[in-house]
Amino acid sequence: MALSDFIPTDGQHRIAQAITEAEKRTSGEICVHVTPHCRGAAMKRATAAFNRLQLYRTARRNAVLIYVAYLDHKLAILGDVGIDSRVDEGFWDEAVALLTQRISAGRQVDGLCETIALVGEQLQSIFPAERDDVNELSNEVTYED
Amino acid sequence: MRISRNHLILLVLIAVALLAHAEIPPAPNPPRRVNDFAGVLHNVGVLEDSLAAFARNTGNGVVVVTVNDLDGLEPWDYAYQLGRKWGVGGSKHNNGVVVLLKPKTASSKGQVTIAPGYGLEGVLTDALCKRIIEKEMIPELKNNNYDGAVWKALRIILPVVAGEYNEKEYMVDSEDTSDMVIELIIYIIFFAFIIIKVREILGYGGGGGGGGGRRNGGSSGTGTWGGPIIIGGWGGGSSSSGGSSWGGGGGFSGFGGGSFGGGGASGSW
Repeated sequence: MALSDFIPTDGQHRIAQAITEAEKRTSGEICVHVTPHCRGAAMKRATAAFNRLQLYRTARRNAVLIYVAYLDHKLAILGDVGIDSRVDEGFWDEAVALLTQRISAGRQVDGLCETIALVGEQLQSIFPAERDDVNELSNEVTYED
Repeated sequence: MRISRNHLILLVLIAVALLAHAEIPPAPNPPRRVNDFAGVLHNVGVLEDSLAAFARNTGNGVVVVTVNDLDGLEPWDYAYQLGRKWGVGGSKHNNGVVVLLKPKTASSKGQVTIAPGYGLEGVLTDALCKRIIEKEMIPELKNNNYDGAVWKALRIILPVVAGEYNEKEYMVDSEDTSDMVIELIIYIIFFAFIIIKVREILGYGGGGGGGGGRRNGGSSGTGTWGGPIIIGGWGGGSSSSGGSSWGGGGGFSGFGGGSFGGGGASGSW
């Protein structure tokens, strides 16, 4: 299964739009990274991807990465230090549960968009949009072959 | 009056920009990351694939360009204009790098430059680029090994751009042992000098006559190998490299950490 089977091109477009929409209300940043395989713990691989993609390069350290390994059926959602220290307890588990449920049902694009909206709401409550907010990180889905 | 003069200046600037742009080759279509216009590289396909994969994985665009003629421009100027014209790294984040090579010919010297986009100036500093050119590229270029020069430079540039390696580590790794020995000797002399001075001040000098002699020796020593000059040399060196490692982004001070520090959750289906 190739990436395009998991997320078709128009799905990638919808996801990028969902990110743009969610980021309108917050200075936080949301990124989606999709990869076929994930050796070992998803959190660990996702953290490595977070660093490789330099998602820590935000002024408020408030980037959130949604990481999905579609062949190994693993996912992780993680927030940088600026947000992790301030989210509601259990929020990450809640977001992971939502996305897991949707992907299991074969609705990965819907699930990603909903999860992005959920993360966006959480970000909004902690980091409301600033007047001169800049989009610090790309909204496009990044992926590995 | 003032407005029209401003307009005139603007027009002149635009004209100059257009003229300056005119000599840079157009962006390749379909897009290519390796553009060997001078025909000096051999394994272009492998290089192209590597850079394409790197761009997919990290979102950073690195292009390699060789040209026979810089059209009278300085290499860095040519590289920046090319980067801008081709949109290397995208206009949003400017996270691209142009590695530009002009091979040596019978009538002109070879030239090389590494030009990071604005978004990467913080990690790929001027000092680091200079070092990569001097340590990795020039030795290969002297043997006309253009492929070797490019590969050796990318071996440093790619991990730096990906955030897996940094200027400080490279500066240490690429240090010449001979330089280190000299530096060590200077340190030893410097500290020996301080110890002698401190001992003198504390009065360990022994008898009056002997002490006087040593004091004279000390002051003439200062003149000869110049304590303050040595301090200046070290201070300048280290502070400039330290300062420039984040110099690219005045507003980027919050990036100091340089790696993920948060938390999250994972699951599977």
